[in-house]
Amino acid sequence: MRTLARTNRGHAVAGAVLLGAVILGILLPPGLARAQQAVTLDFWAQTDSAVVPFVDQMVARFERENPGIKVNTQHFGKWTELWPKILTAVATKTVPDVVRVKEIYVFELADRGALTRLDEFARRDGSPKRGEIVPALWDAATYKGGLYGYPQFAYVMVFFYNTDAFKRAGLDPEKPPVTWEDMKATAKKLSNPSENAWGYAPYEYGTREMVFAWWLAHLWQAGGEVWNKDYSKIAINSPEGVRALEYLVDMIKAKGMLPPDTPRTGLVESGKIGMWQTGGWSFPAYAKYAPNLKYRTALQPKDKQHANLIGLDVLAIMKESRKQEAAWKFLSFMNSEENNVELAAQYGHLPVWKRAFSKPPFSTDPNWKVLVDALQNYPRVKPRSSQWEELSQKITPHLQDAYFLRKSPKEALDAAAQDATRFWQSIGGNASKVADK
Amino acid sequence: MAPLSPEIAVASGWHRQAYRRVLVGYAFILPWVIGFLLFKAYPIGASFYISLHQWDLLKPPIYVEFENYVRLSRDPLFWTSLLNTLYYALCVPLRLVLALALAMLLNRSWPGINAARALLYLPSATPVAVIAVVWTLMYHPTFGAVNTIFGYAAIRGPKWIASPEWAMPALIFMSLWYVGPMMVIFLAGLKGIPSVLYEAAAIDGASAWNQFKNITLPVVSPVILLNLVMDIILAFQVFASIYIMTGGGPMNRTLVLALYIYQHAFVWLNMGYASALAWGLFLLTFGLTLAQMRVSKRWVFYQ
Amino acid sequence: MGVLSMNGSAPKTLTLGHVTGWGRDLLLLTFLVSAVLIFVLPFIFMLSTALKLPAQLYKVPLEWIPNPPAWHNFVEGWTIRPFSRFATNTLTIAMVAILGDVLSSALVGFGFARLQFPGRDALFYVLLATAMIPIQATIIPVFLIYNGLGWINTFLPLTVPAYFAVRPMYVFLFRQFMLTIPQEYEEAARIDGASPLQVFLRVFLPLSKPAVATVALFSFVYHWNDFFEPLIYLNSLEKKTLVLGLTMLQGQYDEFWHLLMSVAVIIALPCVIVFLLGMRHFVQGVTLTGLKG
Repeated sequence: MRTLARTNRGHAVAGAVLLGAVILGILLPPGLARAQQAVTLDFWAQTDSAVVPFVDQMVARFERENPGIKVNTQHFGKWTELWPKILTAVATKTVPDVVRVKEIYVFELADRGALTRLDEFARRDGSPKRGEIVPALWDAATYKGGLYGYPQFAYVMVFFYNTDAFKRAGLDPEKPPVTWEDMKATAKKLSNPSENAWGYAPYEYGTREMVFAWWLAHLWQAGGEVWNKDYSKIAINSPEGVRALEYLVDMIKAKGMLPPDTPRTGLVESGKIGMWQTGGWSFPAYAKYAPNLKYRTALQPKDKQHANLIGLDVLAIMKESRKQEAAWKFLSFMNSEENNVELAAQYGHLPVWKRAFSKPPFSTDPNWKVLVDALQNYPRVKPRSSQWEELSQKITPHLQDAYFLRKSPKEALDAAAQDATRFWQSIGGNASKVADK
Repeated sequence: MAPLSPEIAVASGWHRQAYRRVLVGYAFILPWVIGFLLFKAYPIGASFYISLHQWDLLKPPIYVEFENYVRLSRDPLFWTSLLNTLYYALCVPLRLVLALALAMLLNRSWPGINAARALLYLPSATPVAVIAVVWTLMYHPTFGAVNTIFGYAAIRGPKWIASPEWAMPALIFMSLWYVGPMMVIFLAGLKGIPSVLYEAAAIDGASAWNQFKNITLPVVSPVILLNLVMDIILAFQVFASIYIMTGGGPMNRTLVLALYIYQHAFVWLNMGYASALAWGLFLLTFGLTLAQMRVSKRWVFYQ
Repeated sequence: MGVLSMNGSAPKTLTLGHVTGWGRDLLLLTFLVSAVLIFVLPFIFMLSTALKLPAQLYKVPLEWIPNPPAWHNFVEGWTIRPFSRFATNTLTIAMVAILGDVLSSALVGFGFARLQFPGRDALFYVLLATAMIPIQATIIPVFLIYNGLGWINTFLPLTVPAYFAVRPMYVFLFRQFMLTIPQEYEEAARIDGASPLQVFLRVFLPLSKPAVATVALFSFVYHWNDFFEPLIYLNSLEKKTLVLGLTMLQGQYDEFWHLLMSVAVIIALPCVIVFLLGMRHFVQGVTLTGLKG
């Protein structure tokens, strides 16, 4: 009995020591590591897979030029993963230091008081100045007059076309369609549904916010607007809106456009799509995944007017971050004119500095020139509003109904406007909650 | 300590022993009791309390009484997700049948039967995220393995997870692939049936179907019930594979309640409404399980 | 009911309609082989895609054996995100949690199996009933508790609960197993004057090695696998787990399919190896839970 007790106690002690060691082993190293680093910045960004190495290289260069600052880059493949994470982080106070976000997130985060206002930093350093940056982009990064994001890239959505496909169909690759009527006719000529080859493919189907965003370009081309004059209602079911949706639905019905239940992945790369909607960010992707694809870019066809969807990516500093100075250094480095131009070319986006457009490849490559043209002459920046994503997702299911030919464009848009307006009013939506244009 | 008298000694000893025994018993299960209170009982109650509020974590909560439940009853997406959850749960009977069939196939002493069993169980030992990612590509209408193989048989496969009609069937079909645990449970149950029963029945001239109906099924019925109940509970909670493969689409046709709750709680931070939805799921699971247990008395054969 | 051995009598004969003897056996063999092939197919596809170059991904018709196989994909995929870090994280979480699962479940299982106290059986049914609670019903308040404690973005929410016997199946396993240990052992220890804790530690735990192995295996697979809770609790890059990292390779617009698959293979491998090595215990454990005691 006594031996039993002794060894039993021995076991208990040993067990406790082991457990303690295990727990210490987990808690201690990260703590030690943190004590040794000077400053570590947590950087969250959405990064397309083909571009990840370039971003990492530039971040590494920043670390070399700024010893004592280390950057932990977390690349998210999808915006739909990054955005909820940022929101939760804000709510649980576990925010990163720097984030790369789209213009709509700038608005929403600034609206929630989660971003640092950058005007002071900019004034102190003398850069960036509004005059040096494309004005539409600067404005897109502001919220109620203050600058909350350092503009990084402009993404321009135009359309691409496969020159080989054009030649095969007997079309002139130098003359892409210019009006909606041209587009419909060309799409029909390039289609061959039995071989899963389609004349035109839009950016994406589904219920994501982007599905609404790319359609907006067509709404603007027809002369319509998202809201009514006093911003109290959603007005996408105006005659212009119906016309913009009918244009697309007609193409689907005529089998010139990719149907909504066919994923676009891989079809462009294997040459099955004649024309498709995308932006410069596809340049690096095609270089990697479809090196034999021959394509050109062109302005989206016009109806009443030209309009191309412009978006802006910014780098922003989270208000709760405790490393504001180091974060600003990082922002200034990544977006300095020189680095911005270099990284932009890798991304396939446009830099934000006006001077950059007179330099190659933006001034020399015909595909880039189209993007610059769109940005400088026919831009429509995506509207920013409170809870824009949730608002968009009230609309996208109805667009899907129209694309799947379950509802007529008018029915779909009426329902969408109703749902969206109800939501808009429930959050107290009015002119002060929108930055449109 | 010298006792006063033998009777008193026994009396006080007994009580002390009994008291100690109870204390010791509770001490041993104490970790579970704490865990139960902290991680099950309290959260369920708190979840109901939160569902009576509107709260986005950034601003203080607002008491709204039963507004969330009213909203729930009027929310088309709630009903959609409820239907989708039940639709997905249709995979359970299919899985049961397949698991039993495979177990019967494995219930012989052929050489290499253990290797076959291992290979059939293998998918269940693989992380769900891996399975989801592989099947996402396998289901690609043009470049995926599934349609390629259909193509060999000159069948034009549907668009699977890209198509609203086929997305849920695609997920159900995929779920058949990891019936490993159920299969093994059935196999153990089958091995407990002595072969003399079958031989006697064969001599009596009973067909294979009769043997199955009258020998196999009754013996295995408690196992069927267990698998049925557990699998439905799990099917209602499925999250990772759907989140990774379809995200609820296309057109919300694969939006199950578990996913919808996640969206409201962790994407839009509507804590109150999400809690109301979660209670809906809880009541559904609870109710269905009770119903199954009640009905089971009619068809389960206990030895 | 004792522990069932897997080598029970297996009926060799099963009449299948009119087909008997060789023909019937052949038919059944064909079914079995087809089933195995179908079940193995996705693994083959996974490996095949993992060895392709980006430009080969979208070729029609599908190439099953890429030529030449791009073995470097494994290295590229592993290094393009900090997967080594993710692996360390996942292992750490798993090890700490497995310890908790085994200890707490064994302790509680012993309590339910061998100790007497009022309400024991009722409480056991309550424990079993908690298996019915969907995780979504408790996750929000639990998340808020962790938030209040400042445990978000740490490993604590993923490891601490394991020490409180939160998985009914493990407790059930230990209880069932311990019920089968003959009374003599317990009585011998009692006669020696051992306290219940000593009986547990010196007698039952060592004798329950099979159950320990089974629970450890199940726990390992569960924590290696876990997606939902790490998704919610872990924010920073350096804390993430392997399966979270895997989904980070899914893109918005383009996907690194070849790297995605190669990393998937690497992530699946430890689970598969552990499973094959401990197959006997898996089967035993699954059997124990399946048959009521």
